[in-house]
Amino acid sequence: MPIPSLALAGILLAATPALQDGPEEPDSARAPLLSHAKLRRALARLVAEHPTLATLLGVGLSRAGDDEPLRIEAVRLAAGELGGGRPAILIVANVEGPTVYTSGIALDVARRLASGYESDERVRALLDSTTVYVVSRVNPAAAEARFAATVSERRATGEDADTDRDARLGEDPPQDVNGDGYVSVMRVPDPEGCWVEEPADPRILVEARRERGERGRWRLEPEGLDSDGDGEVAEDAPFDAEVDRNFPAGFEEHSPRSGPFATCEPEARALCEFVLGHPDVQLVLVYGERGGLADVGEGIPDDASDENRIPPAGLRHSDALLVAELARRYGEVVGDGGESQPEEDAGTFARWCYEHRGLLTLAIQPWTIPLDDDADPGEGEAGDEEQERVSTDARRLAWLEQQGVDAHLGWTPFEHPTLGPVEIGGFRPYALLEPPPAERARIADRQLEFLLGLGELLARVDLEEVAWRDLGGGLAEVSATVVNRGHLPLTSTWGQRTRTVRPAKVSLRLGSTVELVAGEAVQLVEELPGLGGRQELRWLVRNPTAGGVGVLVETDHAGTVRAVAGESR
Amino acid sequence: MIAILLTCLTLSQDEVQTGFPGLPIGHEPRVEIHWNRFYDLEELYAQFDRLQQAWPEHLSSQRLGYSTENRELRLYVLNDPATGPPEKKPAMWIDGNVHGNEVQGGEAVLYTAWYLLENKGHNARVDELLERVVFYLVPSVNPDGRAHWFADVHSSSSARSGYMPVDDDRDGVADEDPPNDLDGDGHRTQMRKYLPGEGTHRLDPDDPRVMVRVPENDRGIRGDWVLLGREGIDDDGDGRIDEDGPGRYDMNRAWPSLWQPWHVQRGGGPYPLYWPETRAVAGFLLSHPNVAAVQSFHNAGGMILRGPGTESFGGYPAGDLRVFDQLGEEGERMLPFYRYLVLWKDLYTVFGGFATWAYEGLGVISFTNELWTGKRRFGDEERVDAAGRQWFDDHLLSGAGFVEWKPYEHPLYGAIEIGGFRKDVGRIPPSFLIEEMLHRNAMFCLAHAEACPQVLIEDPVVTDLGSGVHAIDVVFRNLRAIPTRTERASQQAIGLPDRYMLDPRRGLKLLAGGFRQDRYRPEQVELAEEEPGRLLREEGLVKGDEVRVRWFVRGTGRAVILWQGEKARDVHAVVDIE
Repeated sequence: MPIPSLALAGILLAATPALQDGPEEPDSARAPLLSHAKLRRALARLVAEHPTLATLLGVGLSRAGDDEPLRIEAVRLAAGELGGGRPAILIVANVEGPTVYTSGIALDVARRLASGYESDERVRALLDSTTVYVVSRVNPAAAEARFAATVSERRATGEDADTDRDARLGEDPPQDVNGDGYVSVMRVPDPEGCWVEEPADPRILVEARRERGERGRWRLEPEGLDSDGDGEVAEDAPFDAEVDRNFPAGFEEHSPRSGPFATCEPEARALCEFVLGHPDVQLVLVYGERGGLADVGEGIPDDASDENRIPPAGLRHSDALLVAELARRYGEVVGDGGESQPEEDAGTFARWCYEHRGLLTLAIQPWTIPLDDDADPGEGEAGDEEQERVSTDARRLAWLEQQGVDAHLGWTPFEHPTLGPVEIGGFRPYALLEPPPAERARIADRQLEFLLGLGELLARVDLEEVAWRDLGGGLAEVSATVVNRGHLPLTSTWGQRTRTVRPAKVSLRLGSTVELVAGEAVQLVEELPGLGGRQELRWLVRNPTAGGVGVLVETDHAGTVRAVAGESR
Repeated sequence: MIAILLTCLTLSQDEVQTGFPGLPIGHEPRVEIHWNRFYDLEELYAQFDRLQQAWPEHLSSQRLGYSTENRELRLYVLNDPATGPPEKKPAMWIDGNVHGNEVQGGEAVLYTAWYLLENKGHNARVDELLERVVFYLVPSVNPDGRAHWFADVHSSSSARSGYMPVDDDRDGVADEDPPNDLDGDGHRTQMRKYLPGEGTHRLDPDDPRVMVRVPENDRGIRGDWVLLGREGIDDDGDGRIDEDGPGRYDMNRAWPSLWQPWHVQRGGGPYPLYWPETRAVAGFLLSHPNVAAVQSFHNAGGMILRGPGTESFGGYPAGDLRVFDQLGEEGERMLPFYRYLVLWKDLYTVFGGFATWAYEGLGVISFTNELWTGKRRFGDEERVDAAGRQWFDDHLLSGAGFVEWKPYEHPLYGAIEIGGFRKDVGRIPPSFLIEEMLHRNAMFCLAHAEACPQVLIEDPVVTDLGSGVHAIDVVFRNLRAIPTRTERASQQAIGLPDRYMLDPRRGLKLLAGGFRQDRYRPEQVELAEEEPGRLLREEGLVKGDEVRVRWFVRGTGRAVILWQGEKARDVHAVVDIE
């Protein structure tokens, strides 16, 4: 349902909370880092400037910010008529708390779609045929920690658990004990500690190689006090559940980080509802910290059997082939596909989209620090042999500092109330996660480029060979072939099992005096593979003199098409 | 002796004995409720209102939320305020009717409340129970289903779902091919068609109302009739009948433990607690960790069910199993015709069930009773077949439960007959057997509630260790079957650990303390590293076991010993060191 964009934008501007101070960038910058209030203004402006292309949609409310709940919004980008099962791509960013920068990438992509429509043929082709939804920030409650007076990488925003099992809740949180504006890391001198300074850069700590006789010098603790006096530092924060572990697929019960039950976090439930409410979505792109496009693999057999009625997790082979092809294209356009993370994907949004909704979903890690020579030719500061010995963190820091990023806080001595003399510092929060400003424009360019190539791959239904054959005696045979013009299937292999994607509905439209003699007036076509998948349907009708017979194909997500067989006589 | 008996039998109005424990003579309830029929949602809430008016101090209500169709989802709190506020006591949760057609759960909840209130102040057992335990009562978890089942044309098994529209047949339209009452008689019964020599059934020669399946054999004998299912037509013209009725989901597959989506477990919605009724109930339970016992009434079949709902869960821990078994086996005696069963093993696999979530997710000992069994119609052993059901209806209900077969012209099947049992036959008892069903199940709930943990601190023993130092030895016990924390709760770190505390007053100083490891060797103490006055125990206090604590104090003064946990009342003891 189209919403009058200008009016809505006005309301949103009025409701936007006061801006707070923080290391924000002007929102005119490419792919900027923006607090949620500023991000919302940027979205409102985008919609106001492109009222015919961009519409703001409410997704839901995040957990309370300082004063009021934070609103989660989507921008819908589409030209021309909506409805009719027009295919859609959903882009979601910043589901995990610390991936704040991905909001800027998503915003940039949305902006450039809107501004490029008039001038760029490829943008026009995409938006004329395809709807793009962009939820640029799913987790504003966590993202606000990026812009707060005290900066911390915040992952947990939800339900509190008694993690240290002392029957007190959230009584010993990480905090900025030395008042430098960051919640970072403390290194504590400890002969039993397992960390030593990296020779190449003593700011970096590496694990002591005990097998070579090295002794550790430091123990690492999160920055905090021992507020509850139990000898542990910062071991019970007032928030435990994480949004991107709170989705139902692979949800881990009885884990504080997952929350008491799947979708207890308002952000997770709101995003689920958004997906359920938009059956036009055919493909999901998730910008975050999980990659996996570089090693999609073979998947599991299409007919892999269930165990105790539970299907094995993972891409089905036929779907893996499709994702691998998308990944190949991603690699061509973007470069680094992002390897799959060793950490499991229990309860993530991306996993839910595929495993429970049958949607082809790409988990995209838009950026990692380029450490190999290929990624950064001409900048090699050390030969292969040397690089072997220099720790990854030291190389990361060197790379960031070459880019002019102030990425390390150093180590500042501090007299800790319970631990005695310690040093506080380490990497600046977010430094390892965020591309430098100059990189971000390039990342957004590549993501846009990749996106522009996706529209033509989506499944779209069409009708071919709509025919009418007079059989005499007042009978006629009507036939039609439903085809898929796209590369992707009408429904993924797994989606046919989950039954969450509505099949194409083929209806015969008969004039008032035409009678159906054989065949079904309404048929559901579940499967139409990509690249030419087709299904022929036939009917017998009587009394054709009354006029032609209409064939209508309707889908939620691959268009609608109608044709008339026969002629009015 | 005879004289005394006569006096009892001839009590006048003002000599009526108080309370209504279950004896038929000389007692008169304060609030008379007719236990020979079932009440629709409004009537059911109205009966609770009457109880609330009669006992305003003890029964209060709150709105948990609204159903899909905006009906009130009501919870009643039954508590004796003289003995403390509800949240300070362990609670028994009782609900019913999450399946809209399984209506008698509502009356079972009502009866339990009524019985407790009528007997409070007049019966030592009830008073003792209400001193310790609070009851959270939800008569209908599915107000829409209940309202529709009473008001609309239904069968005994329809209106099980809630009433959120769902596109069951995936044609883009929701609920467009519902069940029909074709002959407009207000009942949704069976359709049968006469197909001489081609059918699957024949008519019982002794009673042509009864359809008898023709056995499959190689002699070519065929029946003359086919059964065509319940009354219905193809409303949406897709060639199928009644394939997209209202709702058709299952709110007892929507709970968070081992929840699974449609392709594994039909009915549970696209994510856990999707339906507003379920989310409201879960919200209450998650915020009331004092709930220590759960009963969720369903029908039918005569069962006392416990989890697990799925084989893949594995077994329940042995200690908790002993509690389930003790209560379940006692229940089998209290409920003749009922069997104590394990859900997945003895009935069927259920992912996302309520009673299983209550135990597996919340760590609470919980049962689902399937109220009423057709076996109750006759003696113990008699198998109730179709002819038996008809006989029972004829002889004990004067034929009122059966709608006679009548001819009907069906748009698809042509000449058929429509007839069969009404919706109030089969899954619910006839009026004259209702009260017994309610009473026995309510008393099972009382037994379950009585098992809620009750902690006792034995008299502390003080030992003079010289130099002004004393050891205080304290033994903590649980007098009831349900532990303060189930093994499930302690294994999964559900809820908060129990606290064993000592608060030194005046000149007393607490030096150290810890749990004793050995009854006979007082020196074997697991000393607490921090806060010796606040010892924590993840494992619950189990009936028959004891937890021994030794605290070391210096000086003189009073030591207040306190036990705190989520599922039993706080208890304290005082010892003075002089």
